Amino acid sequence: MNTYFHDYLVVFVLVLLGAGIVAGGLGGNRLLRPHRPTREKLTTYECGVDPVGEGWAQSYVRYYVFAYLYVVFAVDAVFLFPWATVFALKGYGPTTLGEMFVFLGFLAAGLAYAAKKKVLSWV
Amino acid sequence: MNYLILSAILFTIGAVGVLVRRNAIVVFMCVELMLNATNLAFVSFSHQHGNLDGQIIAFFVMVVAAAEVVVGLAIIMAIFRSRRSSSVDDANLLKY
Amino acid sequence: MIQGIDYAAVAPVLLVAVAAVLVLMLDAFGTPRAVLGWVSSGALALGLASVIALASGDRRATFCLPSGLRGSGPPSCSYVADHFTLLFQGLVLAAAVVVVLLSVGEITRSALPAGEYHFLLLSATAGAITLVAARDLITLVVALETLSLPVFALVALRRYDGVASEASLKLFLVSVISTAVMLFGISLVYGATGAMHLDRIALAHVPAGLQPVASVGVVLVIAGFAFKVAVVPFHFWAPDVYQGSPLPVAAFLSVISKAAGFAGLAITLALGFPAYGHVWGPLVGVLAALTMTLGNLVALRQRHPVRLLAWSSVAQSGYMLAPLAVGSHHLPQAVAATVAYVALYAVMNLGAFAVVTAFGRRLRRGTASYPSLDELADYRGLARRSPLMAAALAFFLICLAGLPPGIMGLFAKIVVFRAAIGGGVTWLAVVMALNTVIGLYYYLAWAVRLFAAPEAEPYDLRTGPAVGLAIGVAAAGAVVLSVAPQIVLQTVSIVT
Repeated sequence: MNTYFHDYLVVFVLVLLGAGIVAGGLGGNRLLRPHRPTREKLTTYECGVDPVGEGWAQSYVRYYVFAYLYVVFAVDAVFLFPWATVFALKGYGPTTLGEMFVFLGFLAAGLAYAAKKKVLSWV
Repeated sequence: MNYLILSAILFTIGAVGVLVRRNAIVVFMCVELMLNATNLAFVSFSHQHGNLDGQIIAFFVMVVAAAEVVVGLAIIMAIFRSRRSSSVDDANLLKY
Repeated sequence: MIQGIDYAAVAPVLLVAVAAVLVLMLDAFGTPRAVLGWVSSGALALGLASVIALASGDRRATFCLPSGLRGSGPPSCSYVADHFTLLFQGLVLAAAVVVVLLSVGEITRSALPAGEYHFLLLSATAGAITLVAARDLITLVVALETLSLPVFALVALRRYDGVASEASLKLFLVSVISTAVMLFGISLVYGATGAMHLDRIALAHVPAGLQPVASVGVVLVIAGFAFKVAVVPFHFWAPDVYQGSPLPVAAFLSVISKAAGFAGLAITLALGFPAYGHVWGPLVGVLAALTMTLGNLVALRQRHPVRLLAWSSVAQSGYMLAPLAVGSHHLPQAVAATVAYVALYAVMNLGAFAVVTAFGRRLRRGTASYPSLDELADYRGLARRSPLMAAALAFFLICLAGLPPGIMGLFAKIVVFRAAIGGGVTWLAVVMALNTVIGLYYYLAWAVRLFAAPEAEPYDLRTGPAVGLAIGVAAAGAVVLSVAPQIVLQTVSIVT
């Protein structure tokens, strides 16, 4: 147990060091540089072009189909995990593999339907 | 035992939310909260009894919840397209 | 450790589920609409044939606990194809065939997507026939969701129709909330008993301290089912949803969903919770009394046939629930009465919906427009325009009211009366008798309108062969069961 947490100690020290370098650099910069803000200097930097519009932008609603597909497939993957833990044990084997592919076949049917309805093509 | 109390509290928050909130999406989130509360109860009971039944049903509840999300959001989309609102109070075409 | 699966036992479910996926794929790859209708009704007929084949054999059970895990307990099978299951599967599949027949015209008329419609219908049917075979709570919940989820989409399938989407949203919210409540109840029952299989729950020894927990769990499970079968006070969704959805879907909800829901309720109460009869018996009794009274009273003032049928089906739910009020006392007879009532109700209500669907498709003479929501007054003079249809509808209504010559309805009510009185809940039988009288009024008022002088503008009744066949099948069933109602009684007595 001790060595386990010891490994994390290294990570922790590394994180502290990294944060220190960034904070030290920015802090030193702040102390040394002159401070004269103008209106143009305070605008958001967008590759030299004046920024247009606001930070809040609506994304296209047509992407909701991808969200639906993601939800369904991500959650159906839930059943793969218990299967994966027992699959390699004694007494399972090819039948178990086949059964899982039947399940995946049903999911694939859904995907094929979605593809055929042209919701998977990029717009 | 603490888990069960937490689960009962979550379920109650969800149920109250369902009753008092008016936005269909928020109502819907509250239902999800109720489902997750039952999942917590199932898993902690399963731990208590030392059998796996509770964990198995938790898997199925997750899938049911996901399927409900998909169907529910699709319905809300359809309503929003025709009504431009997702408030439950605005759904008033059907009356006695 | 791999379990053998008895494929013969699960054949009906398997056939319908595979057909559902097949229909979806066929549609995606451009098969014409008529073929889809044939595939879908063919699959249901095949399922029905497999149910009949199974009925001649012995009880089959599969997905049992392996003997290594069983301990000293019962075999605990998750899927049982006994006579109870097969009766309900047969009922559901036959009703589903009629619903498909009704749907064919509706799909064209409302421009519904045919492939998706049949896919969803078959999926929901697969859920219903799994539900009646389920003997553990996990299978029960999954089957109930498989039954409910496609129906939400079916109701909303008339896209860009505000009423349909709204009906669907109502059904959806009510249903997911009831699922959550039921799952919480199941979690409490599981916590108290440590089992998910109904036979183990029934045998579990619950310590005295946990008895209240288990009772609350049982009550919550009943509340969950009460939502699904539209029992007061969880009934308010029914009329709106029936009105907003395509009529065949409303028929599906009021016959198949309801039959499966009652089967699930009976299975859970009789097999899982007989020890809590003192808790759920009185509760079910009060719910039944409220349901039939409110349903009948509100049905009195309905002007639209669909809403009238919706409220009357709420009232009928009360009659179906009534025998279960006996609690653990004479439980097998009570379950038999409920099963008989559900079976008879399915035939007559499906028939009424078939005629209402056909009537809704009439064309105003000289125009191609369909009328919007029908009123009861529109039915005046149907007997002059289409004597057969009027006779069928009148017969179904008289059956629903429970008057001769609609012997099947009368018989169903007597069976329920006998079970209630035999189980010692006489007060409920009295409430039922009063309600039957109220019910007579609105059913007969509708039936009388059919024979009144016509006053509406003339119209063409061209129902199409599919709907005609649907009405014919339902009418034939109703006539056969009215002539020989003992068929149902014998079947039911074998079942329980």
